[in-house]
Amino acid sequence: MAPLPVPLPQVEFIVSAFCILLAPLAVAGMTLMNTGFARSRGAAHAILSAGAAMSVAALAYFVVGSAIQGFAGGPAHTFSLRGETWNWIGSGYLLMRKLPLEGSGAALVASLQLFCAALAAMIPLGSGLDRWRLGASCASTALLAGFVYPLFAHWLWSGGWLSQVGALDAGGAGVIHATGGLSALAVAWILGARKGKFDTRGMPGAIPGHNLVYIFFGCLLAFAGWLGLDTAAAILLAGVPAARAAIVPLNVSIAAGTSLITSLVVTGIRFGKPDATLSANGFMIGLVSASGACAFISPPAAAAIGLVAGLVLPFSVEWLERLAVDDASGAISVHGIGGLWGVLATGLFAGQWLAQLAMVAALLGFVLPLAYALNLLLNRIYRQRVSGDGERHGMDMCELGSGAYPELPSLGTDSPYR
Amino acid sequence: MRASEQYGSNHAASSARLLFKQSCAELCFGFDAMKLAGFLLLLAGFAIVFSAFLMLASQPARAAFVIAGVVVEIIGLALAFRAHIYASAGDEH
Repeated sequence: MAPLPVPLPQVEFIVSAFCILLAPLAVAGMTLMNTGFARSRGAAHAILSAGAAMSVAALAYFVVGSAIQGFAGGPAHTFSLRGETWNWIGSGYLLMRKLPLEGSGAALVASLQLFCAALAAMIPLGSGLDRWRLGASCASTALLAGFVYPLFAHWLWSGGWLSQVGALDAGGAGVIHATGGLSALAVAWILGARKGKFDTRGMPGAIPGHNLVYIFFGCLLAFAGWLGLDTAAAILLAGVPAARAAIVPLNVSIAAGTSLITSLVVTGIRFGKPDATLSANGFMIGLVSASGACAFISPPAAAAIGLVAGLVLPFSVEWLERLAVDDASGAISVHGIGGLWGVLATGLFAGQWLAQLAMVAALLGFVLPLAYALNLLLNRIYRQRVSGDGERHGMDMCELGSGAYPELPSLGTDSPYR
Repeated sequence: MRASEQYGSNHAASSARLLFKQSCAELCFGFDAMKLAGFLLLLAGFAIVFSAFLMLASQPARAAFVIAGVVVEIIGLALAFRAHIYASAGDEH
C-alpha cells in the first residue's frame, strides 16, 4: 500500500490513535450482548462464536479484505464512461504488504478497519443465536469480512463510486451496521426460526435472553467503544478535522439517550410496563443511527435521529416477527433498520439526499442479495443450522460438550451429547 | 355461537386461506422461484440506480431514476419477505 495521499496532522494522528484503542470495547460489548440474548444452554457457544468470529474477521480482513478495500487515493480498478472515471474496487496488496508504518495515516486506517470488520461480523451472530453452527458462522464471517464488507467500504470510504457521487457516512451507519444487519437478515432467512418461536398458526412467542445484566452491561461497553470508533472513523475516513470531531461523542450520546427513553416510553404505553430488552436495543439503535451523521449535525438533530430510531425499534421487532423472521437479539432491527435510518437521516440533516438514497439502494440491492447468495452457497456446501436434536439439547452440549453453567441441571443419561 | 366455536371457525378459515395461498404460490412460482424473483428485483433496482449516476448528467433525471430504482427494490424486498412467510408456513404444516 502506498501512503495516504494527504499526510495526517499530528493532532489528528494522536486523537485517532487514542480513539482506535477504545474501538475493541464496541466489539466486546456486542459479544456480551449476544451472550445475554442466548439461552442459558447456549451461552458458552454464543461467547465462543463471538470470539471465533472476531478472530476470523480480523484474519479475513488482513489477508484479503484490506486489498479489496484499499484507501482513498490508493490503487484501485476503475472504468471510464462518458468521460468520467468510476472507481469500483481496490487493488491493494494481499496480507497488508507494503503498509507504510512511519507515521502515515494508512496504518491507523488499517487498524481501525480491522475493528470495523470485526464489529460488522458480530451482527449476524446475534440473529443466528441458538441454532447457528460454530464452523458455519466462522465461514460466513470470513465471507463477510473478507469480501462483502471491504467491497462496500471501498465504495464509500476509499474513493469508490458512492463517495464520488457525494454519499456521507462518518461512523459507519451504512458501511458497518446496515451491511452487518442485512447480512443478519440473510442468515436469519437461511437458518429459519428457532424451535418453539412460532406456533402452528405462525404466531410468534417470546424466547427471552438468559441474562439481562449481560445485555445492559454489553450496551455500556459498546457505548464506550462507539465513542472511540465513531470519532476515529470521522477523522480518518470522512476527513473531519479533530477539532470538529469533538462533537461526535456529544451527538452519539444524545441520540442514544433519546432513543432509549423513547423506546422505554413506547413499550411502557404498548405493554403497560417498560420492556427492558427492547429499551436496551433502543439504546443501541440510537448509537447506530447517529453514527452516519455524527460529525455533520447539531445536537438537536442528533436528538431527532434518536427519537425516530427509538420510536421505530419496538414496531420493527414486531413487524419482523410477523414476517416470520426469528431475529434472536434484534440485530436486524437495531443494525439493519437503524443503519438504513442513519444513512437516510444523514441525507435529511446534512444534505446530499440523492447520494444517501443511492447508498440505501446499494445496500438493499447489492449487499443483501450478495450476502444471501454467499450464505446460501455456503449452506449447500456446509449445513449452517444445527440438527433438531442438537438444538433441543442446547448448543453448548451439542457443539462444545460442556455448558456455561455447570451447576444447572444437566442432561439426562440418554443424551448423545453427554 | 360460543366464543370457542367462533375462534375455531376463524382459525379454520385462516388456515384454509393460508393453504390456498401456499398452493397458488407453489403452482405459479414455487417458493424458491418467488424469492429468486424478489432478489432479481432487488438487483434490478440497484442497476437502475447505478446506471442513473453513470449515464445521466441532469440532476432531476438522476433523482427520478434513483427513486424509481428504490421503488423497484422495495417491491423486490416485499416479494422476498412474502416468499419467506410462505416457506415458513410450509415448514410448519
